[in-house]
Amino acid sequence: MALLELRNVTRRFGDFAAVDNVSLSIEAGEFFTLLGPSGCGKTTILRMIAGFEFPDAGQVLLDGRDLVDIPAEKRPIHTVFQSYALFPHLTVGENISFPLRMARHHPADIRKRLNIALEQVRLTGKAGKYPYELSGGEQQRVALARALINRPRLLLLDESLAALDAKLREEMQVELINLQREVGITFVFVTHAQVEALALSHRIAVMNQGKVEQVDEPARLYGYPRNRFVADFIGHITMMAAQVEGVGHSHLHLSVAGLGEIVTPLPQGVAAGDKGVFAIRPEQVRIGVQAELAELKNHFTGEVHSLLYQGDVSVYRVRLPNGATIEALLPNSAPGGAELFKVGAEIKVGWRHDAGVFLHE
Amino acid sequence: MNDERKLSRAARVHRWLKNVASAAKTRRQAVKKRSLHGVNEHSEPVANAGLASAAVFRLPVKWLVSGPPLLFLLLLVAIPSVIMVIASFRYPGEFGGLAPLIAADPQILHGLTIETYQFFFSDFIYTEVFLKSFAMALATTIICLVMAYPLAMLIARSPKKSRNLMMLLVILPFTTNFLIGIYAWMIILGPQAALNHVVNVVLGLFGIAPVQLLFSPFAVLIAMVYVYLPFMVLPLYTNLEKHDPVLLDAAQDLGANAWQRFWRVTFPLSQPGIFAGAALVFIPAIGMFAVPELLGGTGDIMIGNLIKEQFLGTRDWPFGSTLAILLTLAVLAVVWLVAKLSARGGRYA
Repeated sequence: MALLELRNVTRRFGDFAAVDNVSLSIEAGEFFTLLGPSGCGKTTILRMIAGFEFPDAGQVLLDGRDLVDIPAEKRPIHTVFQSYALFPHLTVGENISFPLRMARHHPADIRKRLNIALEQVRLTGKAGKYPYELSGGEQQRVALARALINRPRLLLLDESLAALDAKLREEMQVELINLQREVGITFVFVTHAQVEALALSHRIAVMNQGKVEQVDEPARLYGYPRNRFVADFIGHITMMAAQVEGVGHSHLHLSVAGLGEIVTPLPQGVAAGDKGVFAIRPEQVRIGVQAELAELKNHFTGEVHSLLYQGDVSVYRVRLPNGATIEALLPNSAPGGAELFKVGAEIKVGWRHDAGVFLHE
Repeated sequence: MNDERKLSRAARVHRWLKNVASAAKTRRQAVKKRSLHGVNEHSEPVANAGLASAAVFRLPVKWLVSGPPLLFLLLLVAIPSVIMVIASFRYPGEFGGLAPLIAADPQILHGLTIETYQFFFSDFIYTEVFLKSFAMALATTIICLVMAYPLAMLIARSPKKSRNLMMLLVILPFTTNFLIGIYAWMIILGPQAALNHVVNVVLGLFGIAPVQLLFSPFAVLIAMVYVYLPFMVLPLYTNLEKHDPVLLDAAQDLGANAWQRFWRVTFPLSQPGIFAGAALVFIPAIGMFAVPELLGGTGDIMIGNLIKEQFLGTRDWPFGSTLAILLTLAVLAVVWLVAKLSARGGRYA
């Protein structure tokens, strides 16, 4: 049995369905992420799990038990809020031990568990400080320790890394993964940052307009997006309108107007004549001179349209004969080799037969 | 009236004066006249000292901006305060006002003395009036707090649109002069009014003798609360309105029930608002004289009434000044205490 289950959950605000018939199942010990643009309903789902919102239809079940009658303060579910919501009038120690004091634990027990928690988030010696005296990263760790101290069944993280700067965010990502592994508590993480979702999660549910578009492991989500929304939302991708010419044993032959034939992996349930889009990730696209690319199943001639130097990699945008622009990622492995191809130069573009994906219309 | 007799220091002072000075009445009268100008004579050096500091006005433009209010405070607060302090150490004139500071005739009562302060502490009745006034102001403050807190919370947690209207309703009583409000209370609480009848009928059911609502400490307290309630609501609302609602969500999420959420989060965070409101109510309430004068009984006088009586009734200016100085010191002590407490609670704000 899944630890947490959402069954056909709907939540409306007026005429607007913030969450529209969503079903999800989250396993114990999982790091599960709800990913989507702002307003997609992910935070509403989180608030329903926490007990601050209630579904208009459907059920939220914890260990198979409907949570509808259990108020937020009685649920074994804690939240790390986006703003951390640390109590400004309480010290770090008082903040972290807050749930234990609410549950009227014995003072000796509180002290013992507080010391363990402080050590766990590397805040030993800061128990007497006030939240405003801490850095953003430290405040984040206080919020984590506070939410974890009485071992909830489920930890909800609401955009919890959004307030940190890029460098600190990366550090906290690593810390979060380690912490989750260490405490073994199920994490449900809400974010609009796809990089964060890919880095942290065991599984990701991509949401759009109140509906779940796809639930999958990060690599599958990235490699095999189910539809245009998921493909576009996660990472960079080039898309071209395409039609299925023929269905092979393991490959699909597509025709792209003005470009020609493309060979791509065979998805399920595709028949000749189907219309859709061909989508390919920039890192799968190779550019260079004729000889290097001739062996690839798919190769075309294009013109360098623009170049974006990003330090570790350069992003080339190449205009294809059909007028479409395709992105290609080139690692800058040779120092100083930032501009291998000049803007306006004619260039060969190609990708392997197992690269890219065909998405139904 | 017994109280008045007890409080009339002037009578004793006059008797005492006769023993000390046997000079002719006319001479004393002449001195008396001069002493009435004493206040002005004395204020001159103080005023000049103030003007000497005008040198700073030559400095930057900021003095041009802060100058007028500073001058205003200097003329109407600082100088009168100094005058009051000095007046409290002087002798009273025989027919009221002040005795001269310097007199050509050494037989005439003049100079400085701590007699009025000794007098204050020699008779417990004055300390008692102080304590009663403190108790009345404290009761007013506590009742205002208990009544204003839920109201401020209700307003702060109402939809943004209706908050301004609700605050307007809180401030609305200010548009009526408070004396008119107090006269209204005289009618409401009067012995002929329905309220008094109802109260006595109810008391009769329990076998308690009928009471008179008007001219009682109860009437004073009601009117004081009526006058000062908005002063408590305003700072409380301003504070509560700023609270981040996510803190209450967090507290609930971490297992706090409604009661715990209030006592562990809302209440401690509202401490600066409570201190501000308490100061705004307590300080003017302790000096209040109109309400006890109009609604109180003979035993319900407060320091304000005592001071007023010294200046306008018995014309014992030194003693009136002494009472005023002691009241100011007592209030300053309270303000200092409140500031210290709120500084402790307001670290995080």
